[in-house]
Amino acid sequence: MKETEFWGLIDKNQFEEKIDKISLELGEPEQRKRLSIEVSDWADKTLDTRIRITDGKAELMQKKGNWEADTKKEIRIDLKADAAEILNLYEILFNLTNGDEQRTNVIQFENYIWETDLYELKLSHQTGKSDKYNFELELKEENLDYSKVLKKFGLHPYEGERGIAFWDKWNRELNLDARDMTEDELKVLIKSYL
Amino acid sequence: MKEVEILVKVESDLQPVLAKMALFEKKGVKEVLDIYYYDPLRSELQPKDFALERCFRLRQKGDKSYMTYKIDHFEGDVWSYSDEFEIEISSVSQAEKIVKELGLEELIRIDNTKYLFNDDLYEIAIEDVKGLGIFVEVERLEVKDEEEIELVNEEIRNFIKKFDISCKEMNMGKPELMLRLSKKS
Repeated sequence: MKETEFWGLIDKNQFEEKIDKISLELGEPEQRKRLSIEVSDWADKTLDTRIRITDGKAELMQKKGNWEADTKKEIRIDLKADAAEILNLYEILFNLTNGDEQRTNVIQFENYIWETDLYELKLSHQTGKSDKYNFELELKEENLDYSKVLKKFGLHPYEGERGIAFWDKWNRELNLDARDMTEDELKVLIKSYL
Repeated sequence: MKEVEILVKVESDLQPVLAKMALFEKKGVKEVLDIYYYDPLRSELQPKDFALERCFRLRQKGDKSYMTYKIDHFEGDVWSYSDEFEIEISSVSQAEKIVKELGLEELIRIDNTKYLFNDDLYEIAIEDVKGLGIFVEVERLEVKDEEEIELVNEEIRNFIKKFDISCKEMNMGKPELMLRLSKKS
């Protein structure tokens, strides 16, 4: 499955204002709670493998495509909503991606999502060690002028470099690291999202 | 989870062994396909002289699918037990795509008809393995951390003796047996 997405940063005030503004235009958003445990070898900058739990539903997800590309291919496998099994999957992926560039980021989202026929617009409040706010526009229509959609809602795609240095800083500031957590701590966190 | 089991190769055909299992409640028959992988970049997931210290597999067992990673522990050269991490997944074919992107390559496939029987303490499987023969595999269902593995192994061996079958204990798993047969080191 191919996905084309545009991502950008906002602050807390903008996050709150835009929820109201977008809701006036597109209606009430769907609210979803998500935990992503990334287990990836960053030596390969075309692959992003994660365990994802969204509103209690668990899946293994892998995105293939250069990090900075707008379009990537995604594969998903459904998993049982069982904390012990999900922890087992984390151990499996940890062993399969072991190396100097391995990352095990624990990413927590509170998402506000609007779906139209042409796109999905998401505002995210991310938590962990701090709070950060961002948006994502995912196109359903390949030829849609995404800049018009973003301009309508006063959103600006991030145009800076988003390589290893950017994401390592982002993760250091925001996200927990599964390697720094005990098995019990990780299991309790997983259970809280199931 | 600690996996403690004994695998024996049976020196007879399948039917006489199944007849001996009349003592136990039948749990069913499952067709099992195991696909084992190796990692060209990580030596711990590569066979050495046909032996595997770690293994990763995708399994189709009846209508259920699983992903498993095992880390073997040895007493000298003798396999003692494995740390097993297993999860049920919705699709082996989707998992194969993910596994391929992670850089893993297929090592060996094992096709097996498992005849399963119930016991309070053990999982008993009579296995008709394509290309390898008939095996009995007995695994203790629950092994506490404080238990001595060799005592649990002895317990399982004594349990297998009750089956009264002519057999030989294997100090290697089916993947290694299959690798030796196909000479893929």
